[in-house]
Amino acid sequence: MIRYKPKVSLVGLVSGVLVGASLLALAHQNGSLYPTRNLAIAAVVAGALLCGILFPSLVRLRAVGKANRRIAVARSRR
Amino acid sequence: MRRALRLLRLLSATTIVGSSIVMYLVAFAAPASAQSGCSATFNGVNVATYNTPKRALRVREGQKLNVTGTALPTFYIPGEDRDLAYHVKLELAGASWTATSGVSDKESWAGTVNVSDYANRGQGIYKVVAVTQSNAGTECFARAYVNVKGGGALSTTAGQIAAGVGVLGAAGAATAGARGGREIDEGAVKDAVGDFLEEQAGPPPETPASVDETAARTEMMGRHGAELHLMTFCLPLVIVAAVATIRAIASDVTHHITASIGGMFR
Repeated sequence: MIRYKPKVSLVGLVSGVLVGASLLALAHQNGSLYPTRNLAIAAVVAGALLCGILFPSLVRLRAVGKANRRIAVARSRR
Repeated sequence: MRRALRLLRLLSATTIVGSSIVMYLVAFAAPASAQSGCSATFNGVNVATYNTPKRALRVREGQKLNVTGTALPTFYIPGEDRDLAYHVKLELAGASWTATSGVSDKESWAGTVNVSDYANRGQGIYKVVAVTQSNAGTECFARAYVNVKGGGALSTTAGQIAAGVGVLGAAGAATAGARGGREIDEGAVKDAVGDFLEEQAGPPPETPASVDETAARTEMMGRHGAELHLMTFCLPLVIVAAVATIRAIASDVTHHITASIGGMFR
């Protein structure tokens, strides 16, 4: 069986910072919210966590689950 | 944007003008949007109405905004010159920059601002903070929020840049996600299955020594068979060459001996 480990992606972290900042800027330009300092930090950190850790980890979790199912099928045939 | 800053500067400059010692004391206990000794209006509405982001004054692109401000006489000490210093800054996401700063001797101001002159670069909610002080030390403070509305978030330069950066970030996030799953590929599954099969199969059976010897000899002959065949082919030639050499040497020795004996009888 393949053991699951969380995935931390440097590219994802940087991309998450960009995504969080851009969403905040777009929301501000739309007049939906006023970006305070805390809100800006929260958006950037949330984007980094989402795109840098959570999303790659979920994708890996799905791949590991899929691979383990195939391994289990191969074992059962033997 | 500069027009907006100018608007806000005028707003704060007129809002902050005027104060007295009583108002000065009140200002410490008042909320952040309080004014003391001064008053200002947007289209006839007091700026204190716009003291939170949700209550921000909404101005649309193409709209003209009438701004008025008045310094109350209580702001000044009777008999002194009516000069004041003002400082207006704009705040966004914890960062702030000076919109305008200077000195004025006017007690009131009124003007019109055309929003369309600046709405194409940036929109949204901005916080304006303004302070002023008379030459007698009397102070006034004001804070207001302005929401500049236009043709949507993507109609401004800031919105377009943000959208581009967002697309770039989304592409990077997709790449990071794809890499996360790519490591668990067909090879990893085969390795895991192979490990499992090896565990299940147990130790390999012992092979007879003759089988190992035969296999080793076969491998040796495969590697050095050519040399062995070459020696087999060359051995008769070597023997013939050796015999011919020995015969030539013997003949030469015999010839020398015969010549020496012949010389003795000459």
